[in-house]
Amino acid sequence: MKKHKFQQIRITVNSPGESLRLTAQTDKQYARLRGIYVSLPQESLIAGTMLGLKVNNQEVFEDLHEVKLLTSGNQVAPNQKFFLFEEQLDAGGSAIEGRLTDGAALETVPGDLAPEGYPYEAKIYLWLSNEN
Amino acid sequence: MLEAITYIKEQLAQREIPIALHRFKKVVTRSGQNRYDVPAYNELLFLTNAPELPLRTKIISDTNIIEIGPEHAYSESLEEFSGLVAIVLPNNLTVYPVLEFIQIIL
Amino acid sequence: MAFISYHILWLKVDSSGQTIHVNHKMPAYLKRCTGFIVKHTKGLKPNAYLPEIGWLNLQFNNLKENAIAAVVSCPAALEVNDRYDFQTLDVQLQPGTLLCGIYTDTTPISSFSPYRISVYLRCSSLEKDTYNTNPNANKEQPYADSFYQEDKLC
Repeated sequence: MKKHKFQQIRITVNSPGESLRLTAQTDKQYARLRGIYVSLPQESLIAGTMLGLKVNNQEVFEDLHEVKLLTSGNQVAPNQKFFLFEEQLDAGGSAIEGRLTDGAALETVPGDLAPEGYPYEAKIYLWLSNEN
Repeated sequence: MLEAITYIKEQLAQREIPIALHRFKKVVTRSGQNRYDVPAYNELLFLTNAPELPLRTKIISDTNIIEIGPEHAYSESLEEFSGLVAIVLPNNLTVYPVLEFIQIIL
Repeated sequence: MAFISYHILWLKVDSSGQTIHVNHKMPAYLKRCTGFIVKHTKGLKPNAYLPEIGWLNLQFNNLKENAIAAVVSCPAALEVNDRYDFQTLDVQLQPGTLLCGIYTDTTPISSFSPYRISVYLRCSSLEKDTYNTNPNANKEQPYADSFYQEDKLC
């Protein structure tokens, strides 16, 4: 039996402050959604960026949930980077819906540096498992 | 001459992947949009008309990434994609292609 | 005799945005993969930590099991506290099958220079349940030659 899989979901953010819907499905061969990890290509993009998530129409994170709580820096071991769900979340082909909101301000304040790094691709990794 | 459906069925049997449904899928491109996102979760998409696509067309998926080059002009091989399939067309096209896939629903 | 071996793939990236297609035959004597880590080896020398220089997707056992999807980062050039713990993987290997997949470079162009990444697969040459880790067993346990954390083979 297949035990673990890390599934990737990619979202392209084109401009500062953009808010994007994402939809996906978990791999139907794995029964449980164990954890989540969000990766952004630059550390400066993390501040203020938010991710809302629903699994099979059940809200897991509100749209205001900071990505900072779902990501880790370089000093963290790979398995520990994942935010582990305390409750049993069913995978098995479940529908994933969400909203990623970029953390940069939509309008720059005079004196602020222009935001850099756009467009970029955010990556969400789902830890799927057939183990309890 | 490659018989695409037979090849796909045989290969998926070797990979122990059961097929729930196979059918054709088209992605029609048009002027004004050069990126197309095609979700293919729990599916496989096999590209069947690579030789007809403009050079430097890029197809990026979870499991495969290709850029159409001269080597695809006479190739019969079927490229397979799964997950979120992003099709990125090169700039300044005069003719917008239709991408044809065999869609395998798992 | 070592039951754990670290099978290593080297991937060399020569140009920005390059995609490498991996088609690697796994040695037939390896029976299980129990962990993986992907890391930048040499080539890039960024001043600050780069959370993403590329991403990897690998399928085991002749495209039967798509177990690995991971982003690859690169520590700052002078950073010494990088973590090398292995990420979860538990794949029963069929003998001599192909490991297939892709690695694509997404390093910011301003930081790019040709580089190499290594994919470490922690593998075992034993089938599951043939290695007894019971500390109360009377017979002598062979020493598991592991540089990293102790591997639980049962």
